[in-house]
Amino acid sequence: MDGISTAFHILTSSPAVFAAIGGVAWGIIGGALPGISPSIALALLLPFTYGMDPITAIVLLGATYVGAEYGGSIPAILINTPGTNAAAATVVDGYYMHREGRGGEALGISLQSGVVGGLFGLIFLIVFTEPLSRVALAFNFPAYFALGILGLSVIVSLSNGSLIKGLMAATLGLMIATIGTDPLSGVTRFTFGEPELLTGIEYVIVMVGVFAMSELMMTANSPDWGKTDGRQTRIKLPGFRKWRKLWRAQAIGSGVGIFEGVMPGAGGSIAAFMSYNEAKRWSPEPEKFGKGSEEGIAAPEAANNAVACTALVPVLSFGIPGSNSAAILMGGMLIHGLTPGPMLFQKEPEFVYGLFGGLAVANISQLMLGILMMTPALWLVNRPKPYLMAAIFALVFSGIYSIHNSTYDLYLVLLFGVVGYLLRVFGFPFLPLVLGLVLGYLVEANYRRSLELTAGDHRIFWETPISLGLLSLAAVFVIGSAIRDIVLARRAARAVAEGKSA
Amino acid sequence: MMQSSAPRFRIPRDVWIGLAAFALGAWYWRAAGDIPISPLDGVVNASALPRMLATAMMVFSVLLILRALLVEVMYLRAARRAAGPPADRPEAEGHGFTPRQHVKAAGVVTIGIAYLLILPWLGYVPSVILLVVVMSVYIGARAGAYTLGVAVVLAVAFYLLFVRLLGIPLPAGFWPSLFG
Repeated sequence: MDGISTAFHILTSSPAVFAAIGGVAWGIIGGALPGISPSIALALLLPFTYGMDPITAIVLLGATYVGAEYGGSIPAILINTPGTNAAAATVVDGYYMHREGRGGEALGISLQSGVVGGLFGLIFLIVFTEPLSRVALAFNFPAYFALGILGLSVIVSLSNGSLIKGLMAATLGLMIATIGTDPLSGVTRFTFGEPELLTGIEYVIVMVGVFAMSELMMTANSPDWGKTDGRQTRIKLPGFRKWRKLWRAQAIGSGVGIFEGVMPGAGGSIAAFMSYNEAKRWSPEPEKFGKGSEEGIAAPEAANNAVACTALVPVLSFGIPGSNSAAILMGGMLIHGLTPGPMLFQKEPEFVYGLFGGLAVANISQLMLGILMMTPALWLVNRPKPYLMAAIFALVFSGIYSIHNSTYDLYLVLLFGVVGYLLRVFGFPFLPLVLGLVLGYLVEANYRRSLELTAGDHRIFWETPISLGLLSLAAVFVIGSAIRDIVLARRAARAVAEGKSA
Repeated sequence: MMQSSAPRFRIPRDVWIGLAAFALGAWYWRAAGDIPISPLDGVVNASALPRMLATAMMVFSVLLILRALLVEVMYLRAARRAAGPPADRPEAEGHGFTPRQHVKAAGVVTIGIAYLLILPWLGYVPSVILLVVVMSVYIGARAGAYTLGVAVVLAVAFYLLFVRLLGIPLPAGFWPSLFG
């Protein structure tokens, strides 16, 4: 009850409610624009959060994540183009329904299922985050170091692309994190005499560069997306009778989304497709899937909205983000001087309960904002792509400039845009790089502090039971992933040589 | 047309990526050596982790090269054993872009650099107008009054948002000196 009253107090005494509503609105618009993933929508918003208080800033980012997951379904249903990766499963039946003249119904099912999934995810987040963080209270320096290594190895193992490339991306992220003044000894590292680098490279610069700028570079090569006549489409929320038909799919979607959100490296896309398959398996009308099934929209939309909440569980409990969007959210917390992890509940309980309250407002208000934002979102989707991309470019540059009033940061954004572009072209996953960046301090500081305790003796890492357990688990993930890589490579080589499809 | 001869060894793309990453690791190792020793350093100084990261990057680079070569050798062996004509090689991860597409992407960065060079001199609003016009035409919009109109509306909107609403002092350029 204390938590509820704290959340209520924060929501009524700070702009967090407005941040929640504004975040959902921006998320819906960002998610509706093909190419603007939830992580890009979050990265674009990061520079604007600098002047805000921490609760307002993080509620804004969390609400954007919530809104973007629904926003992605709008172009998926209306123009056969998912606004986000997680909305790809919604395309199948959503666009079919739209062609049958039932686009408004499809959007209503998507919106209502998203709200249901989001609320289930939020309940899970509220109930399980604190007990998990209590477990992590037993952690000491070596355990924290091992936790950072485990987080990196799990993400590297589960990210798309090869294991070795994932490891290289994570190493690159850790390298970027070492730039600036060493927080433990005060000496400067890799600053090359540039005063702008003394405080290190802001997370937001790397994230905006790698996610948003590289996407703009990719988009320069891609054709414009399709357009729709938004005037013909009005959202029609499902009534009670229809909802009774959808509850099973929504429950499956919520369950899968909750599970996948907590899992590092899984995210909304996997949750959406898994829940689509499971909903089809358990549906009384599986033959309708792929032919305008309402359950085929309800399940993936409930799943990806549940993920938007439960992806915060590992961030808040252990300080380990499991997806791109969660990593950006964690970056937002670090920017505001908050250290995600078990001590967050001890040191900043108001922040945590305020965030929960803000996310509750975001999920509930999504039902209304989904209807209100439909027209502006469709208007934007129907604008020619070159103008939208040019506007986003100008927005990125203006937002980043506003952090330090410096053009130096803008050159860095371009540099990291090139880095992100090369990572995409050469098949390196993004998430290990971003995770290496945000976990860099945790890993290094705890590694060095651990060795201070033992005068440089590395045995401390396997003499501490928690550390030994976590490092062993990390080794299992990496070795298992290496074996999988080798098996897949052999199979692919053989299949290709034999003329089969790999 | 069916390929009848056995496939020949070809250096995979990942070998070149591995070599570049190895060079990065080696350079980082060298730069880590320049990190000064501080009296506040404990048992592990500020260059310890960078040295480890440099080593890790070089080891992973070698593994990437070996993996790429191994896949190529496995493919060649399997192709030799296969009865029929061999198909295409296993695809490397990532996007298969043409050089022209890379040039197009590089153009985006070039426009960005040009914007940064003129921004302090020309000021925010005119620079954003130029940026939006050039960028949108570059991506595919038609040059004309409509594009210019969109650019002006966007520049004014961003000016109101950043300068008037958020109070951020964006570069004014040479204009104040003309009127000052």
